[in-house]
Amino acid sequence: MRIVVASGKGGTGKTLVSTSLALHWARQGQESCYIDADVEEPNGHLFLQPAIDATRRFTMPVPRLEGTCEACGRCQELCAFHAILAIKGRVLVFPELCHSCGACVLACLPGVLHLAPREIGTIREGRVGSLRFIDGTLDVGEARAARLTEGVASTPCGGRVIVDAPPGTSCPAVATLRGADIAVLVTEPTPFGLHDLGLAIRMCRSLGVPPVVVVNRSDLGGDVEAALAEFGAPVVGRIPFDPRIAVATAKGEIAIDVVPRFAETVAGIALAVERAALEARS
Amino acid sequence: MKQVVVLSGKGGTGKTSLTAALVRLAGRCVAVDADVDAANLALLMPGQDDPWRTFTAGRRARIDPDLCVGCMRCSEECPFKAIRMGAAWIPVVDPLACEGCGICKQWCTPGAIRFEGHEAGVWTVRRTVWGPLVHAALHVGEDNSGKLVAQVRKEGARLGSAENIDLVLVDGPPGIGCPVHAAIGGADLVVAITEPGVAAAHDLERLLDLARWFHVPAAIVLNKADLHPAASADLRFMAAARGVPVLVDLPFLPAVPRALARGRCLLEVEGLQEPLDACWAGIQRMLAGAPAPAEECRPAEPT
Repeated sequence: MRIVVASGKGGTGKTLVSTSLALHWARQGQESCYIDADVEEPNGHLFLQPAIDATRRFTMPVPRLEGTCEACGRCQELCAFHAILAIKGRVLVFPELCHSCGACVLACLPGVLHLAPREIGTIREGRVGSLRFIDGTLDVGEARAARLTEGVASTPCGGRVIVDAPPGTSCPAVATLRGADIAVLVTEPTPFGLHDLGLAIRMCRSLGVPPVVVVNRSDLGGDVEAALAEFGAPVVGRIPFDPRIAVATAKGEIAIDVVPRFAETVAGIALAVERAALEARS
Repeated sequence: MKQVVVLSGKGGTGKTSLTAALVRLAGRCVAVDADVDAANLALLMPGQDDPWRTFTAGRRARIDPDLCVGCMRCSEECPFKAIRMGAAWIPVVDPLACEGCGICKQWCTPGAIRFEGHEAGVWTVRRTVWGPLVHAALHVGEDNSGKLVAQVRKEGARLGSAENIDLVLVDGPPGIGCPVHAAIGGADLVVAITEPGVAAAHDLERLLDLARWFHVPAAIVLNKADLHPAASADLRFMAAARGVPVLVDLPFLPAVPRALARGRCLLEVEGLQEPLDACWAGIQRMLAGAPAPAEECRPAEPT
């Protein structure tokens, strides 16, 4: 079962909810895997403190000239992304624009263009007790986050997979939602939270992933019950504001270990998410 | 004209709330909402929108069913796995997966594939009492958010020159990827709003690295500073070590989310007027090229 924890708005508590759910299921004896796919700002490791047993550099292929360019200019002509220029026997590649599609290589009649790997970030794998841990970190200055997001999110793993998605509703978020059984959307009871939740629900529906909602800091803000009901996505949990959760999170502690009442809330959310995922499947 | 961009690395630390307050303190400025896939600044800046304009970026494959012979070569060759067999043995294109590279067209012997310009989002200008607000909405699931950010920033700068406004305030996106690059490039100052805690501190460091990479000076606003004083002290120490000034501490107040829920601005929350004034004064000092006051740079004791 693949559970993606997402939100339109940032900072609503994706990492809090996803790390808590992952630990909860792992401790229940479920084979579980936590994937931090927010490669621009991965934070799960700060809380889970995994023992890392494998680190590899992630690459995306970009064109490289190996041989004599005949300056026919076809690569430049066929590149839809303006990522390659052919000038007087030299080829200039703009890797931040390149989509790694290989059209330039196909276009190269003398066959001197090849795709060569370019490093854009790191993927790590490890363990937190019985919980498997995977995360990705984009190199500072790199732009193509969605590629690494896809790479991290598609790392093979079995059992229950909990994916901590990047914020927003553009390509990196979509990359994590593909193939998910259910999306847990974390929001907060403010106009920002609701507005972005609406976008996230639309994103899930356009991808055919059923959404459920968790309202974080549910008592800080306004009355949003009517608005939530209108979205038509079931609310599977409400986390009232608790300064002890805020302080534990600030320190990098596991909030379910520090605040028993929060652990109960998480257990309730876990059950409701399982149920909703099974219902959606049948 | 000066361009100030409010960023955070981590989401939800208060970028939009702070930007809306700065807009009011500036009195008259161009506001730009550069968080185009979750744009919220307009919720705190009422006014009248011009008609929405479409934003086209990239292109998508279209298959003409009358010309297609169903060989499925396009599907085999597509590097993005965006073409699959549909009904009646005609391939269909997944518009969210297609990146418009054109490889399918190269392989299509009957010439059944053509490319169409693709609407990736919409944008407009809102007229408010504080000046124009340029805001946009990227369509759900699109890439090209960086290009739309570039578009709204360009329009912001254009409005600034056209209407003789010398300040552009940009509400930035979270993260450090493509849309943030588009938001930060060529700006005069990054105001990084953060909160105490391991996650926000980690993200802030990556953001400050990025600002340095772009050669844009940065200043920090420490939101909810009193929620965890020890973590705030750590942040201050890190900022001092990097020579980045902390402009102001904002307290954690449960009244803030309640005010936002009613569409009110931070300035209307009791206890925030004074620190926000100080923050605005600090920004103005930095834009004028003055060094940050020495006491703001003094390292705190590590805890």
